[in-house]
Amino acid sequence: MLQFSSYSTRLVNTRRGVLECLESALGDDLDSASLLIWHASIGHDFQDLVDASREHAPNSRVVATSCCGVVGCEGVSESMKDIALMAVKGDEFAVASCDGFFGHNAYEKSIQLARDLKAQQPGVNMVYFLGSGIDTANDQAIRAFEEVLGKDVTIFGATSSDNMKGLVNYQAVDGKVTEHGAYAVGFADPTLKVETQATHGFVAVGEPLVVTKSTGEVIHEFNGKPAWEEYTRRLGLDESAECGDTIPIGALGEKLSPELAEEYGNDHILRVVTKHNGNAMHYATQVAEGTELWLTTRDEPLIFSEMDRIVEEIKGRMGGKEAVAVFHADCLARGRFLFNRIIKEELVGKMQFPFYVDGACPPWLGMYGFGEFARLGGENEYHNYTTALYVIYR
Amino acid sequence: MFVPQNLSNEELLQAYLDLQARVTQFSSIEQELINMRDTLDQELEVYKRMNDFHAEALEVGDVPELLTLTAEYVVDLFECEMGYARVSDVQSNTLVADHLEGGQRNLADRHVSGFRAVRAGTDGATPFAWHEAAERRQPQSSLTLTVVAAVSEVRAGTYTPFSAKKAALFRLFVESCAPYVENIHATAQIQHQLETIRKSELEQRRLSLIATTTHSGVIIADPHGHIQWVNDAFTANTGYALDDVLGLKPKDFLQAPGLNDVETLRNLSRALAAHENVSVDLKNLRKNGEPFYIRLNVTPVFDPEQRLVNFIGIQQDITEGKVNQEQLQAQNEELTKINQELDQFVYSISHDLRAPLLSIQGLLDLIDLDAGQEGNAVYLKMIAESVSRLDHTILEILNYSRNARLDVHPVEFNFRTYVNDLVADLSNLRPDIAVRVDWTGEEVVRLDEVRVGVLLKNIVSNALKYSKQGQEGGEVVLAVQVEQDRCSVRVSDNGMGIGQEHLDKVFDMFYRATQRGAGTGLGLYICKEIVDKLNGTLSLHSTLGEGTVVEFTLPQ
Repeated sequence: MLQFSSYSTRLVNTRRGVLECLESALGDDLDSASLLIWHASIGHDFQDLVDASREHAPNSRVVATSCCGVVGCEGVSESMKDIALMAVKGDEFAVASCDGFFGHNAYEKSIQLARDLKAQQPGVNMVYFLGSGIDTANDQAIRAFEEVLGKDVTIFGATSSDNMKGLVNYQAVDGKVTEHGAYAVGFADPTLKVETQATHGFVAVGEPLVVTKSTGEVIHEFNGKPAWEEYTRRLGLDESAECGDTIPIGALGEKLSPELAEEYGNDHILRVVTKHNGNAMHYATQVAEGTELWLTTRDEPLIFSEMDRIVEEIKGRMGGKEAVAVFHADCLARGRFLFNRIIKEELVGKMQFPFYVDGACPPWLGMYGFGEFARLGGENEYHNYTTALYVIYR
Repeated sequence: MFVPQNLSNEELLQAYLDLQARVTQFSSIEQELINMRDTLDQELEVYKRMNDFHAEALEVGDVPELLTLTAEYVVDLFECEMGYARVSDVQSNTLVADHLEGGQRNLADRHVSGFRAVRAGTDGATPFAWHEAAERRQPQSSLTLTVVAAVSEVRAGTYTPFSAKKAALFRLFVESCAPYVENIHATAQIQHQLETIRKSELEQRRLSLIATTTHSGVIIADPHGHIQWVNDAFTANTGYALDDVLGLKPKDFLQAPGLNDVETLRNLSRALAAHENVSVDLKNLRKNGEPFYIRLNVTPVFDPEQRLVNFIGIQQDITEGKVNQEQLQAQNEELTKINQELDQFVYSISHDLRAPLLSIQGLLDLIDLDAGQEGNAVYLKMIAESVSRLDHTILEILNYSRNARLDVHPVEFNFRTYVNDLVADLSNLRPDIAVRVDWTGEEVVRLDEVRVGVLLKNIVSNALKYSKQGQEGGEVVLAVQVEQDRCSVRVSDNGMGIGQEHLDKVFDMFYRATQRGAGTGLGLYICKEIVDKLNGTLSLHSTLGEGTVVEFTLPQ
């Protein structure tokens, strides 16, 4: 039976940060966990991070990913030196990983990951998936996992990120650090269940940008014009604008069916885009020509009211059970680039307090990344610009 | 936006697109405002965390630790890849401290001095994309604090170069660090000096404590052996205070001729002359003349140039051990003597007791064989003599045993009456001999009456036994002198005397100077034992053929 504990901190020295998290999460017996899941800001040295983990906990599997900030029971931190840990005790899990994970091979790589998980633990009933957030096709990853493990297996997790520059991100498994890798942790504890839900609180404005030329997850043209040029023009930015300029304000919305829109609380599901070669741009999923994509603006009251709604709905589905651990993925555009500190912490409080057990926050591992996974319409789905909660309970 | 009512469809569409553009552009303007707010938030955060730095810096105890803290805060506050902090002395052009290992320091040195940025931790091939350096030198100080924030080209994309405001904040931070460096460095120097002084004082106190509290006497002397200092234990052991002996040599007042053997003193002198450690056991004299024994260890002390500056002598009082050793030696000698006497005793017992018994046995056999014959009377007389001799021997042994076992028991008695009675009894042994008593002094004495009786009887009976025949003018004279504290008796005869060769053995157990007579060889031995027991003296002077004089003196 899997058990969870967590800790987060902000420390310049990576090795000291690792030790502090291990000691706080695990007490005196640092090697008592069987799996260490790390989220760390891009300023940390990931090789140091995994090396220090293996030094202090040589019997634990180690997975890590870069992000733009972390959320733990201790609160929110968005600096270059954040680090957060979810330590897992127990043997009912599997770990699979790969390098060279891109949009064009996301399906094949994910098939292999899923098969690896199944080979290790045939009873995998949920997957914590984390892959590179740059040049990816997460809808294809979902398709692959579902083909191998079945649609009933919930895929939750996020995509790695940097500090919203869109230049580099890291994944690490045991002693190996990659920049375009992915890992999946398959939990196979039959006593555990997971509830997932995501919300963004943005509203579409104006006329859509129509994809007139695309290849897989790369958009070459909008409305017959170079994609990046047209995109930045609509945002009122220069062509020289970087991802750091576009991501906070440039969420693109795909229209949902009325049924899904009702469940989602929004007519659109959002996608993040990053600059590709020339005037092309990466889309987070494969995108067909003819797809209409809407620019969106943030609606702060909606963001707060939707947060209350999804928390209530998750708790309703839990049927009174208590959370044993919460994984949490937040879009990096929803952190310091969207809210000031007070509002951000208030929003995090809104998602954490309802899950408190005996006045204490359950083990919590959150991150600000490029994208999030959560079920929608009963199926696994990839999201952007959302807060996605993954509440594990038994 | 105001939209007139009479617009064409094209104009309406354009107005819609303009509106749409303004909405989305408003988003970017709003984001700019959010970013500005975030920048202000970050600057506020820097100020707040600078306060944290100050709080932590106050707790830091040494410069390298402060520099490590400074470098870490640079990375955290100003969001750079690497922070570097060092303190150098501009006067001596030396590095005072930094927080890096050797390899990293070399790379950082190249960066700081030549502004050729090289990322620490790599092979040196990766140049820095940018860096910000600030230096601060406190007024009236030669120490300069240099702090660098840097980002490598590899990671340049994820870091934002310092804005002018951020650079100003960075310089402000460095300026605020400098006083801590100066203070901690100065404090460390003072602490180092204090520690040196403390260690020195501690060492002196320890030495002083050892020297003054030890039970051993300590003498510090100059290279010529003149005393410069003695400790309290020396004064307690010898009775000499420092003022008594300052400038003297120990041998001037602790030694006396013949107190120690020459070889021991020669060894000591030889070692001191050769500036060598030496340890000797000496017998010394206290100030009050009382002898005592010491074990003296002398150590020469040299300065860094190996010149002799002092002798330190440590003398351990071993008097108790020496006295015990002497007592043991005396006991050992006593035991040796007793053992020898025991051997002799066993031999004599076997001989002298068995001989009369064998004689008796033989005579009895003769009586059995010749029963009724006239010779029996002769045999019976001989038996009687053997029995008498045996009885005498046993009596002597008993006297010896009593003297050895029983405590001295002085009593007052009339010694003159006692002597007269004894002489009268003994005269029966040799009625032909004239016995005269010459008396001087008091008649009453306080002596161990029993032991004096045995002593006197042995000596007088010997005189009678070995005297000339009466008709030859045989005479025994007892000259008794009783004084206040002692009593002397001199017994002289004009008998056969003792040969010179026997004189030094006459007091030995079972020694008989002549085979004449029926002596056991115990008489004079017992006399000597008794006189020793009574702390008196006993002497014998004799000339063969002229007679013997035995004299004893007993304290009372």
